[in-house]
Amino acid sequence: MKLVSGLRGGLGVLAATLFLALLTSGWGLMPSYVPTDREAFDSVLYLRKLGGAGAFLRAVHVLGASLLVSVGALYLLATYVAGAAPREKRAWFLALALFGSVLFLCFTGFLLPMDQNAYWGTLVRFGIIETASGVGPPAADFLRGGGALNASTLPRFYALHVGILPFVAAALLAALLWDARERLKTIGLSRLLATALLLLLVLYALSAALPAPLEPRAAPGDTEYVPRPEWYFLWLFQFGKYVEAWPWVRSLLLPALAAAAVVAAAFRTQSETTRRSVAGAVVVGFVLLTGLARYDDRALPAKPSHEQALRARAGFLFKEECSSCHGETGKGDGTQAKTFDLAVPDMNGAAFWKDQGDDRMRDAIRNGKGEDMPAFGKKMTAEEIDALVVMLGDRFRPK
Amino acid sequence: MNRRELLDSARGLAAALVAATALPVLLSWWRTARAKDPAGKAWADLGAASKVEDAAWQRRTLSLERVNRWRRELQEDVVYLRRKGDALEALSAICPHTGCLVKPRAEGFECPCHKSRFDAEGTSLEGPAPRPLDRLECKVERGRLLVRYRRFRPGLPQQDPIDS
Repeated sequence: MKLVSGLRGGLGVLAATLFLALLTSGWGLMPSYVPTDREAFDSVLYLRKLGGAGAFLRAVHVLGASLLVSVGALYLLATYVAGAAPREKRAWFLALALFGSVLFLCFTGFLLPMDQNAYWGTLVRFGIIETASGVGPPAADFLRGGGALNASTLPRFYALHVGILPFVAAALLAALLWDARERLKTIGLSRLLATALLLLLVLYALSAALPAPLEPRAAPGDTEYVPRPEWYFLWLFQFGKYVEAWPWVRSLLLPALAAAAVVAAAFRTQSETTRRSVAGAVVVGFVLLTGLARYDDRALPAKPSHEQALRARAGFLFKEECSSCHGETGKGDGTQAKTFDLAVPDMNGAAFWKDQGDDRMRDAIRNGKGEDMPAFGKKMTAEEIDALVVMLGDRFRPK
Repeated sequence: MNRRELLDSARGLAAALVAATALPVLLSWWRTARAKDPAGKAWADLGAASKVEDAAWQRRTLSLERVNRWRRELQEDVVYLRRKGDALEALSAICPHTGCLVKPRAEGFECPCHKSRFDAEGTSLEGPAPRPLDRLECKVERGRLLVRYRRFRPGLPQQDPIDS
């Protein structure tokens, strides 16, 4: 039991540290993020391209959020196993409310990058909320700002994510720490701060090694994209498959039962054996359902990042639009090339690249050149032309 | 007034203060959520009706100018069209389960998100979809195919239109 209590304290310190890292990394993201559906993605992409501290803090934010959910869940589990829920009712309810506000922060933050994952994931989450008969549709409308995703959805999510929920969470955390002040004093302030600093540095090291993902720009007309929940909700996703015919079991009954069970834990004194078995069952259920969800998705192709998708798109465009004249290997020997009076230049030769800057190349693709090179400015976006220029340099320019 | 009474009255006053600040906020969020956008153009022009020749469903993107809260914009939506004898038919691509877009398969449609399957008539075959794919009204005027584009709430067994 002493081990569990110690573990609980450690998890508590870790959760508070993660919260601090999330709050401050969020401040680092705010000056370049624009919360409108048309600009959000490009503002995140800008930060990503700029690199440096902004991109690093985005990695801290994404990784920290994921870690805080797991640490928070483990803290609650350890508190329950230690039998502290009925002993410290106030702390138990404060911790539950804090965990709930963290999940709500994850839900609202998830949409902000407006990439494929954010758009389709949020769309599906609302679809799921709406299956909770009666309460679902009005709750979804309230959060979404209307009957479907619209221009006001992102500002609402942003307001909740940076303007309302952080205050709620910070107040709950402050209340928890205030209540625990005597216990914290016995550990010693210096020791606590040293631990927090160490944990923060570990998080920074991990974030430096794991850049935050960004999928392609949200494409609302896509019929191929397969969204999946965050890893910590895969178990619920998997459970939903088994009660397909009664979606309200997953969307309403299960959440209501779970909420009732955690509240009831404060009012029932259970034996240690019972508590351990319950916690064991929760862990086994989580691992099992998550594993099954992963197994069902084993054939699902990996999701490309924005840059990977753009590179693939450039390759596709070269094949579709350019190779009929320039040839598959860029030698200028495409099937159409023979019909021209002038030879199509060989992109593999040094002569082609002499005085050839990216600007000149972009201009030639966008507006055409000479008699034979057509303009592609209407067929390709500026982003696609940029990607094509990079691809041509990589593929053909003599080293 | 003793200390206890003072504390009790402070509690009540704090609760009143919280309510007085939170209530207008909630009402504001509720008001903006319930606001309906004015109905835009109902019928979308999908080009010459004679171009839809196939008896198999074909994907088309329709664009309609609509009001999206504070801005007027061209919205693009995916529909499936087919010819059945003399008549033309249109289906919305929005899956009635959670709102992803279904894609055609050998016979009928499949949703990439939760594997709901539909037959060529749009009837739900297997998977979690609570109702068939939503049919859209079609008409031909002066040789042009017009489709009345509508959206319905996902997740419900009945059709509940979203736009006014």
